[in-house]
Amino acid sequence: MSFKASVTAVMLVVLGIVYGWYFAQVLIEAGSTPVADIAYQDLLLVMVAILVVLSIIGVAIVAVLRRRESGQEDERDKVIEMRGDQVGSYVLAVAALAAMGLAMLEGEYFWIAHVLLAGLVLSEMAKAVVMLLAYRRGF
Amino acid sequence: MRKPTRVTNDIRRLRFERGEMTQADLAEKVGLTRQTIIAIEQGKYSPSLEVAFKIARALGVRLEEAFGYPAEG
Repeated sequence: MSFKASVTAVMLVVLGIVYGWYFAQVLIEAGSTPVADIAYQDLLLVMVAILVVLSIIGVAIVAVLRRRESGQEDERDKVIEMRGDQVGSYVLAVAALAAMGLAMLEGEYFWIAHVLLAGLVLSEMAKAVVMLLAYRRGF
Repeated sequence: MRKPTRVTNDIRRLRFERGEMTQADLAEKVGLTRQTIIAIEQGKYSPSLEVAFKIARALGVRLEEAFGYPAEG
């Protein structure tokens, strides 16, 4: 696995853990509390900080383990990233449309914010999955 | 499973004929990662024309000696 592929795998795992945990917390609370009363903002900021720290640690570990290839990127990495971006952008567009629909229906801010957040997270995860498949299977 | 690319290559053989040049040596010469050389050799990635020329040059052969493409049909 190349340096870039390893970093992509690490980011996929970190995103899955951090946002999986965040959404589990918030959605469980939404089941029993009116969403307008859920103070998710602070938790979200903490999660973003944890995400940044875990990403830095993860990438640092990859860089140490793959010392010789650290930071190397070539045309194949760039093409694979573009393919990932293409799929990720579809996911993001769907989430943006869903959030717009919610706003037009005057839905709760909570749901609009979380549809957008889910879109951002899922688009990054979809990008990572597409990239890892392209690395493994070729194209 | 369908091969990702129909482009074939003789890089592996040519490397050995050039004093057992390693994948890492070739990667360094043409500015690719070793994993990309592996992917090209396994037919999982067809490089850009520019990189294909660089690989052929690094192996001391013409482009069509390093890479091939099957006739239609």
